[in-house]
Amino acid sequence: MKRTLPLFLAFFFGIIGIIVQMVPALKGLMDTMLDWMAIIAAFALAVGISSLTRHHMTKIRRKHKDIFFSYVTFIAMFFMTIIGLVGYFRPEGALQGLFENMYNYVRVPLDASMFALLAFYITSAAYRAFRARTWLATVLLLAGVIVMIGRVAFGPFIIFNDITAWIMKVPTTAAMRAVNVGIGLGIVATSIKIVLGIERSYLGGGE
Amino acid sequence: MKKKVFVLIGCALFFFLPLIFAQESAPAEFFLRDTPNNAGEQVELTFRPLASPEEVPEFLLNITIGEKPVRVRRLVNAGKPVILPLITHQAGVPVKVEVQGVLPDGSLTDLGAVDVVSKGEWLNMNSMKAFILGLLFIGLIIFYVGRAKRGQDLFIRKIPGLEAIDDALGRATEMGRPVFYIPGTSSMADVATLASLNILRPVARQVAKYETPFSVPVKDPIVVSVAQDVVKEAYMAAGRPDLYEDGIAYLASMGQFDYSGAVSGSMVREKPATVFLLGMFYAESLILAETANSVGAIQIAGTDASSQLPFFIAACDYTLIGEELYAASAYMSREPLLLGTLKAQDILKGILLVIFVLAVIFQLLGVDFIMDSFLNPQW
Repeated sequence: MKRTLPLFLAFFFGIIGIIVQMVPALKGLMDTMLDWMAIIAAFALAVGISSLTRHHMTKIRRKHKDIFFSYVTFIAMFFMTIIGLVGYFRPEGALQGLFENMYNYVRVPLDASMFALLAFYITSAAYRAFRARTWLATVLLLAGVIVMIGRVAFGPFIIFNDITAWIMKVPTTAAMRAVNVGIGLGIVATSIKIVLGIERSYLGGGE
Repeated sequence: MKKKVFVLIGCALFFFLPLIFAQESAPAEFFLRDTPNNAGEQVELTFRPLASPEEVPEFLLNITIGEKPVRVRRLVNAGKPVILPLITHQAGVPVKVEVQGVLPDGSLTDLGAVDVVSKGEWLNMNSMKAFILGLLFIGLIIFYVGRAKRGQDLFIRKIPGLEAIDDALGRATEMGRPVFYIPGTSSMADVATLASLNILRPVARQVAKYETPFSVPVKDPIVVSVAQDVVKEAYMAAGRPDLYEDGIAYLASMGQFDYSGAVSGSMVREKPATVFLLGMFYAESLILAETANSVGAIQIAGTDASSQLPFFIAACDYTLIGEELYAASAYMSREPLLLGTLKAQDILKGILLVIFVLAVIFQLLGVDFIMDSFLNPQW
């Protein structure tokens, strides 16, 4: 039953999904199913908080060497939850403003800082990828250098702009389309395998 | 004599008839029709201005949809035809459009009205070709699954990224360092996440067999519960349920960069020997891959996000490119059922390749047959 019911549900809703694509009159049913997904996602939040709490509680109980970060997680989680809830029900108090300030001036800049790290990571990854050890890496290096110059080309270097446009439009697009065709077929094949119950590893067992 | 009279009448008709029936051409032609292949939630107005922008600079469309009040829309005469979708939300809604031309002096001239009632169709003919292709695909799967079941050997090319999994896990065991498995940052609604969870099972089984520390930080709460089940079953299948604990697969964070910060921090502190990055990734892909590289881990990555593939190829030791991610489950398990689907996928890809090549050749010759018949989604 533990395996049969999920397999039946995957088959049933998979077939419904295909039929809805074919029969426009059933579009309302699709909208209803999408509403269900939103409800399930709301319940999933409780599952997520439970998982996070258990993970860090286990670390604290076992006196893990990184126990400090578990405390930071708990303090941040409870602090934001409490000031957020109290601030929501008492908007006239100072807590709502504190919650917004914590979000806008602590969380958002931290988020932006993580994103900004990408610039350094791109440089280090490019350095490794562009080391011309093989002829393929040399081709990559040449294409990369041409595209980089082409993006900031001026004066006599403007020819690199045209070469860049050609590289992006012809070989890059051709390769990406080939990859995308493979991806499309892979998605269809995996979906069919799941709907027909051929693929069941995601349920925990292959048998 | 009679003949001359007929000739005279004929000439008169030839010269005067066009003058009698000549009309001043309308400033615009327009018609309203129900949009085909939908549930009646939309109709469309096709509007073609015939007068020049100097003669009629603008048109006013007085649109009435069902019981709603009249909505006036101003259309600047750009001299080009326009198709305007009008949303009705359901079938059986009457739609009326009255058109007026705005003359250069600001006065209005009535150009007429058109109306239609939205109606829904039972079949979306635009999906029919995809449906037929789907049936062909299922037929191929059944055929090749049958062949695989009869014991016929199906050749599957080597995928280096998947061949390296055993070595990567062995390395982590020898070094006594953990294995990290990151199943992407998307939800269960993404097929790439499902494909990743399919690979998680054999990886977790091997990890359990080797008694290597294992960590599966997840971003989506639903994926957490599925990943926990997958890992638990894998540990049981390996005969090591004693090593399993719920904390192996856990929710690291639900925000994109919070997650990458949390996982990167864990990597720096715990120094995993092997990191799997398989699933759907967005901008965080390079942060995770580079952090893994900085702690000296072997990275096996795979995604179907074509925008993130270059980052993985540049930063990781092995990369499963697009479809290889979906083939991994069959490749690793070698189950006949799964291998059959993989073979069917390859055959369909071959058929599509032939169609693409033929389409290119025929298009160069000026024949649209292949394009219209196979590659245009409309029936």
